[in-house]
Amino acid sequence: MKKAFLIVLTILAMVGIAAAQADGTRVTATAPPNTTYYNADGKAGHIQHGCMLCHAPHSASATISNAAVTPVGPVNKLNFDGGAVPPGWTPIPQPNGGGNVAGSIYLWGTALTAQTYTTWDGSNQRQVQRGGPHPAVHVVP
Amino acid sequence: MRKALVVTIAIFVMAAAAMAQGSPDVLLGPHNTNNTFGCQSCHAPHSQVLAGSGLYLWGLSVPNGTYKTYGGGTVVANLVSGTAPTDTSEHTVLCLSCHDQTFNAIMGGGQPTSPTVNMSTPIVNFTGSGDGQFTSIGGGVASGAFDISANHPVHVLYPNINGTPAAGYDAPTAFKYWVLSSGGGSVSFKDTGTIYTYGHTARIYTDASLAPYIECSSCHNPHSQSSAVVTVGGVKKTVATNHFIRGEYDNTQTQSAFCMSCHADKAAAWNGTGQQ
Repeated sequence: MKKAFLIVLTILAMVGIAAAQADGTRVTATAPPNTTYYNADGKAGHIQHGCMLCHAPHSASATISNAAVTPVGPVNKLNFDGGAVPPGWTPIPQPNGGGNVAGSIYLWGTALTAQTYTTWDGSNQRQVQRGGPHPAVHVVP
Repeated sequence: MRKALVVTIAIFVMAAAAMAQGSPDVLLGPHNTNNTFGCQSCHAPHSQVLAGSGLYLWGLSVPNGTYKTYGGGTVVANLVSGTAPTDTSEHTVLCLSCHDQTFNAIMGGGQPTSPTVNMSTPIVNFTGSGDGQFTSIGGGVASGAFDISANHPVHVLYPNINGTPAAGYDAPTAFKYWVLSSGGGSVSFKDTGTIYTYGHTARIYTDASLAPYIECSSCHNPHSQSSAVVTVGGVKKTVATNHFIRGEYDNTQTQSAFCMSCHADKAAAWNGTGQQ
């Protein structure tokens, strides 16, 4: 009798745990990996991170950051090269409570820097803090 | 020994049951207001706030004004008359009942006594549920109220219709989007099911003249937070999603694929015209 009771309890426990997992776990993706979309921009990784690496479809909360620029590679025309960053990911500055980015800048969703950069020939500088559309946004984000 | 074993197993049983019962609402998520109101978080089956019909038995206040949208466009919120608009704007405006903070101060904390309010009683003291956050896409960011320009364009024509640019688009711009077929009283993507593993799952809304529009609920299905039923290549299936997105959207790859299901030029498969 006790043995049967134990078995019943054990089954109930297993069923209960299974039910909890099934209810609380998201549906498993069914689509296989698709190389068509992988590296889809040919830029070795930007879209690999997902569109949301840079964009935010609801970007009202994106801010201009005062954080230092993170080195992105051994050669960089914006003169903030700091060597390669293994294993290849490029850390992005985090919002730090600066001013809001105007959402009309390509729905930019990551922080912008508030720095002045020397360009490749050392002759040109840009103040890149932006609260609205400006050609410099094609360079500095 | 046996007694201890019985007690241990019994504890497991109770814990498992508690886990099952305590799981969040995976269907409506935060749209199940306070994990309490269910469908009535938005709908009033017997007391639609808006007069008239055709507005989904909407039970919440709606904004009344002209919103600025991304790219310089506008969407007119004019549902207060209770008359469904002749265009497709309702599929955006109804969302703003809650998601425009400047219209309803729903992020102030506390609990609402009822999700159903009348036109003169804005929702107050609302915290939502799920992750505890309520997403306001409303204005105040750039130039005050009635400004949702910091968000993906809504109430805009889909650019590439039968290989012809929609009104307001030039050819190079329109062809950055997959072609949308219009005819026979409906519009649809020509999904081959081979190039697009994830399909074109965004919903395109049409007005009486079959002009295809993108609205909030083109990308979002407010009734399903974390799973989406999609048809890809003629096969219906359930896939994982997030943020009420209408397609598979559970990792960076599927997120990008969903964006690219309209934004053709970001996909390697783009051929320069948007033709599929």
